[in-house]
Amino acid sequence: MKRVPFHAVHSVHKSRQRAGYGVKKRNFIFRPHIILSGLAFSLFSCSGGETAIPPAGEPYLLALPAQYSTPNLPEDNPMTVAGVELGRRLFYDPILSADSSRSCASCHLPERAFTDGKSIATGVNERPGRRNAQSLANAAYQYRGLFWDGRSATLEEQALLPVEDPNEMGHDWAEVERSLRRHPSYPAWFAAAFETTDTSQITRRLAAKALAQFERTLISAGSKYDRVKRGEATFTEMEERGQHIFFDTSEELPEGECGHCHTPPLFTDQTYMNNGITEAPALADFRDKGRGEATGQYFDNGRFRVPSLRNVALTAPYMHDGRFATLEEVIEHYNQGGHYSENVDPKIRKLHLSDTDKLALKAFLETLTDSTFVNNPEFRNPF
Amino acid sequence: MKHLFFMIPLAAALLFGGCNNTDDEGQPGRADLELSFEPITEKPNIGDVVTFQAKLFNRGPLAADGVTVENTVPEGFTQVGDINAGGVFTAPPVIRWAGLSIQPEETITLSFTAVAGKPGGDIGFTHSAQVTASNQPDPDSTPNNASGAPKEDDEAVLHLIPLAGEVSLNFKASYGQDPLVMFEREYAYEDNMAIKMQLFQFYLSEVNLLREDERVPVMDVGLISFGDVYTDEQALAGKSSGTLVAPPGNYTGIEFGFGLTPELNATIPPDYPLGHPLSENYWEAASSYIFFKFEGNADLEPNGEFSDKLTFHVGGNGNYRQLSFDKPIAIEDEKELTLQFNIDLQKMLVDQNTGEYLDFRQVTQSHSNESPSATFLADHVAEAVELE
Repeated sequence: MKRVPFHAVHSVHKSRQRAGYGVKKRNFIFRPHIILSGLAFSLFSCSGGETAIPPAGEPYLLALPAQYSTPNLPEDNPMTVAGVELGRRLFYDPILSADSSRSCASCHLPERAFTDGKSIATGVNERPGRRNAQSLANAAYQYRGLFWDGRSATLEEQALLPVEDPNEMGHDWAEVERSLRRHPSYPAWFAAAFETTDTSQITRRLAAKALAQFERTLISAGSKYDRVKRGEATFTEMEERGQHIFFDTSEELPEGECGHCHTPPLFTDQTYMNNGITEAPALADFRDKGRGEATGQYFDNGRFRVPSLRNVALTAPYMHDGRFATLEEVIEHYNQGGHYSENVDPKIRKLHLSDTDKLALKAFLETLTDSTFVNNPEFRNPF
Repeated sequence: MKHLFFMIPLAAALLFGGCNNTDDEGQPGRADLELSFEPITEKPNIGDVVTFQAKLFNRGPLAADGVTVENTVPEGFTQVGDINAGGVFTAPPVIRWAGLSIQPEETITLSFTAVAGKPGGDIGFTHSAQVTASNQPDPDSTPNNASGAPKEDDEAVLHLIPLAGEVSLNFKASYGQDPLVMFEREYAYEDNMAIKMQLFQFYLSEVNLLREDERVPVMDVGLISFGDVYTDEQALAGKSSGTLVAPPGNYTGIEFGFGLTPELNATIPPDYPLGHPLSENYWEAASSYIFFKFEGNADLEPNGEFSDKLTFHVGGNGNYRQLSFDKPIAIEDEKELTLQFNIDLQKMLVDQNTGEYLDFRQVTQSHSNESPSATFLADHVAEAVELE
């Protein structure tokens, strides 16, 4: 059989990509649009009787960056100003933990883009958890599962789990509900958010809804990268070089293969991948099976959620087990091409980056830091 | 066009929706406006002209004037015409009758015609109307407060079910005679090479049923992925486009685009909500979606190690391919038909006539619109896809 000559493959495709680069400027024109959460909420039946308790108070106007796709906000949890504020209080209140020592914010600190700086998160009594605490930035946009293994489908479901995890808050929701009901302030805050008329109506489900409402406000889209895309800033030479490596868009530079999975504008494609950090001759060999633990699917073993790289310079250490302390270590891992297992993603391959290339890639990654996000007073501790 | 015009007694109505009036006795000293729809009992087909009639009735003892009725044309209907009683259609989809006067016990008929199009995803149309203004108070309703689910007698809603069958496109992937499964299966390739798969996916767009010189659209865009096909059983079951609504009729074939039409490819992910097929797989640097992906590992030595990575991502308008298949296709009302397609990856990689093939010893990736390997793959799509 004859072979098709493909000697010119790389030069052709790179030059094409460069020619097309930057054309889609409207993709990054900053046109924040407002979503009035829960507008479609159906309140009444034909007979005029109520079929659902309406959210209480003023709707929360969620400003969505124009460069992001519209998130799917649940109709059964429309955001309100009071609901978001209740969620913020719950987020920062150690009342959710068994010994009142830990809050959500203990592992999700705003100054670290809502991570904790530890390899493995620690819970009550300093008990080590299983995995690295993930950033909550742009949680509203995560629609293919939460946690490293994607075991929770929604923020509302996710918010229920850490409270009763013995390695996290180690508490019991029934106890939490009792504490909230007899608290001097929470009954009024729940009433403002959900029109509860009796403390018995304060439940874990409403608490989770409030937490989810607050988490949906944690939108990060104000990095230097975004400003460059809007024409309000320019990359340095190193950042520009790093961008080309990241997106494989230069004929002269090596391809970093990063942008396939860390797809802009969220810098994640929200899939689950094995990025080759652990060698496993058989897929059953993974000590932490990751996605496979959630799905029971053998070929998902060793796969983990592709995290967003927004604010990545603030979220060290890296990977699901926090094994890499620095971005340099992460870049070196990818540069080496990873370790073998059957389901390592084919895009993990040796990159042949020079030392300068590595520095450039790091410089580009640092442009994803959003200081307005981490310093937003509306995301800080209200107490 | 077939013209439907029905004045059916209420007892015969099958498709009437709305609130029953429970306030049968008009209150003294007031007008009492009620709005209802004449039921439509015959299902319209695409292209049929349908007459919609709303009845405004004054049950109260006093006349009302300054009455305005707004009628929302059902989504999917076009070519609105024959609006009676001075109604205007200046702010689609709303037809507005303003300044109406109505005497006690009088009924005013408000009507228009429109041409039925393709119904929405729930296989139906929703027609609604309400009184939005009146110079007289009404004992049991407030103008212009409709919520979409009638709770007052000055609102009306009609749910209209069209003639519609269902069709789905089911794709099975193979490699030659073998089912295409991900991961551990080894597929022999040319010149003593072998491959294992990890991902095969593609967009299909602008799916049209064909009859005579007419194209009947049934689907805008879909994403078919075999990335979670791990067993022969799953491969033989295939991946479905999902159920699509189609007007009944006898068709001569079907066509669709492999990849995205230039119009769709000119859009960008923020144009779509998360979860929509076009909210992902966008290649910003190339201003294109990735029409199809083929990823896996190759054993090139051969030594059984499959250590060479294969990633072929193909997009760009130049690689869009329109495929057309001739086959009698009968769509019947309320029946579902599955069209079985097979896509043979081997035929995309190896030209069955000339023997040319992608040589993985020379190229293991293409993330390009115009690379020779991308063009080769796109050029062999037509040969690879068959309608059973």
